[in-house]
Amino acid sequence: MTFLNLIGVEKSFGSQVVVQRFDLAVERGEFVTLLGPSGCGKTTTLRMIAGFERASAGEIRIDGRDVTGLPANKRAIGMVFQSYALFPNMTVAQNIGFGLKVAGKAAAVIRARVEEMLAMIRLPDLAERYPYQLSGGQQQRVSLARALAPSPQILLLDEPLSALDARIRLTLREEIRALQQRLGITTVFVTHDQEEALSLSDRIAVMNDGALEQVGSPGEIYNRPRTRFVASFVGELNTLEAEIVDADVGALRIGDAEVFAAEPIRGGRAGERRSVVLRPEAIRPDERGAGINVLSGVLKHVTFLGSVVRLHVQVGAAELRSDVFNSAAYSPPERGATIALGFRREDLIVLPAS
Amino acid sequence: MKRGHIGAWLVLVAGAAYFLAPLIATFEFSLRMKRGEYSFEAYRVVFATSEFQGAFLYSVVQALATIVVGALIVTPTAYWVRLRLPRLRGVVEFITLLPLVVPAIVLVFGYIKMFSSSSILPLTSTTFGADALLMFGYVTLSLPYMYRAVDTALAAIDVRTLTEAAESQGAGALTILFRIILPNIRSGVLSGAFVTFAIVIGEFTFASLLDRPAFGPYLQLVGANRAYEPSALAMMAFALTWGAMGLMQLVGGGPVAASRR
Repeated sequence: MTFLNLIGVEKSFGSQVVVQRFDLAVERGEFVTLLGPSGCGKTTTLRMIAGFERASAGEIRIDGRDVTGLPANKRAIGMVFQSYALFPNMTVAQNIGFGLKVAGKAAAVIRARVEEMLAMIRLPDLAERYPYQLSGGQQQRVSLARALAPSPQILLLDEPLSALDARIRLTLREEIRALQQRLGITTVFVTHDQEEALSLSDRIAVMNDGALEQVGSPGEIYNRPRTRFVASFVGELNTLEAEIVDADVGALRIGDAEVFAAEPIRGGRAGERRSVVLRPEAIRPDERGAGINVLSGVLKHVTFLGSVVRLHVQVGAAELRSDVFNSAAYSPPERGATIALGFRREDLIVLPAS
Repeated sequence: MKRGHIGAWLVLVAGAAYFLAPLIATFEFSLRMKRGEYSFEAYRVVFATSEFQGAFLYSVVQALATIVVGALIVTPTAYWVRLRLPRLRGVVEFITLLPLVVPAIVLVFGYIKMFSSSSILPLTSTTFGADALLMFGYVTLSLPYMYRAVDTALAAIDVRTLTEAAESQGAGALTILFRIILPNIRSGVLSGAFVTFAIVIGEFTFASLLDRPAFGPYLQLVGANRAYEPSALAMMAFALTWGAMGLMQLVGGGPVAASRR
């Protein structure tokens, strides 16, 4: 059942349209991420859900109720900010209990809830500390506890991990996901970090230039990007120029080699040029067999990336990257060697005509 | 010691002498009321007079009222301008600077003209009205200092995000202003308050022309008729000002200031 519904939502600042006709339906308890580059409108969309920005057009519904014109303090929404936004004049306990105090809850209820929240974020001993006495990771945990303490309808996370160092970011990311699943709270997360989006979300809404490009599960977004932008923004990829040989059987020509897509090429016709993309991990050196497309190229150089070894192979005018899992037994081919690059038909993504 | 250091010390000593010599001389003179010995007789005489007590108390009450009214006008205004009307900042700053440009005598003549017994709002006709008019005059006079102190304190915190964080917790405008913003700009408001206090305690023009029994006109009266007591009063006024400035430094502490360090 749809819990949060954005219907044709738009936002303009003067003549500048920042968000254009945005439709998104979020299920109860779902974790949806708005992913996109800086300035794509994802934070503005989140701020409209929170009530900090008024939508220029469209409708925002929470649990069936139209909240488009409702002020932020009446929406029962929990928000976590990139800059933590803890109240500097209040202790950790006062910060967490603030929303409950505003709601007029009894002191004993507030105290019990604050203790529960502190235990939840695993900071039970820091109740009397001030925000400036905490690390960035601790501050963001407190911010999360503060947002959750009044039991909001929806949790909004505005790039909450961006200001943290890499190690803390990873830990907190897992904690946020675990908490969200335990509490079953409907969550909208904003990030420009594809790894965060892919690892955290039930679904991802990829945005570009104020518009929604694609909504889907992390697997769909990564493996079946519907637009050139989604393909290029999410994950690494190789782009090749191809010519359609037979659209009905998904046949294309790349240089001298004929390759096949798993499905017919929608809207394609013979002779038409299309861009095709391949993920580096989908390309396997020296793999052949039934249903495997093969391209031949010259190994230019090899990059060691720890768990992965990346081969840079010149195929015609394009340089393809192929990722091979590293192991002690693996030794890459010599530089300059001619190697065959195999990939499954399902891994060949034919982009729509631009 | 290097030559540069000696030069710096000479400048420092000369500067200190320029400020301290008149002060020491005034203090020394204030102690000479009893012939042939140093004493605090002038201070005792000043404290003992009912005029001093009345004028000082009147000005202290005026100063406190000015601080409360000034803070209540300036804090929400500066906060709102920063939060919602940043484009109006220049205009508001210009308006707050006007009391430095328009002389106090011009302001008070304007007030008398506008609020005289023949006007729609005859504030000068009653004691309470005249006291209120004086207080509002002091609010105007202290506006440049109060606004700047509050605005600088607001610049040091993330007003927008703190406001939104409080809103997302269900807080309304008044709760946000009094429970989040004000405590976090406390040092700025108090700095403005102490400057206001110092201004009001020594102010002469407004109080004299509105014929109010304030400390400023009392200082002038004593200065015109007595020898040692004016020096004692000058020292006391000086001590008050420095006390206010010292308190300004002290109130810069606390968790909010620590978070900025």
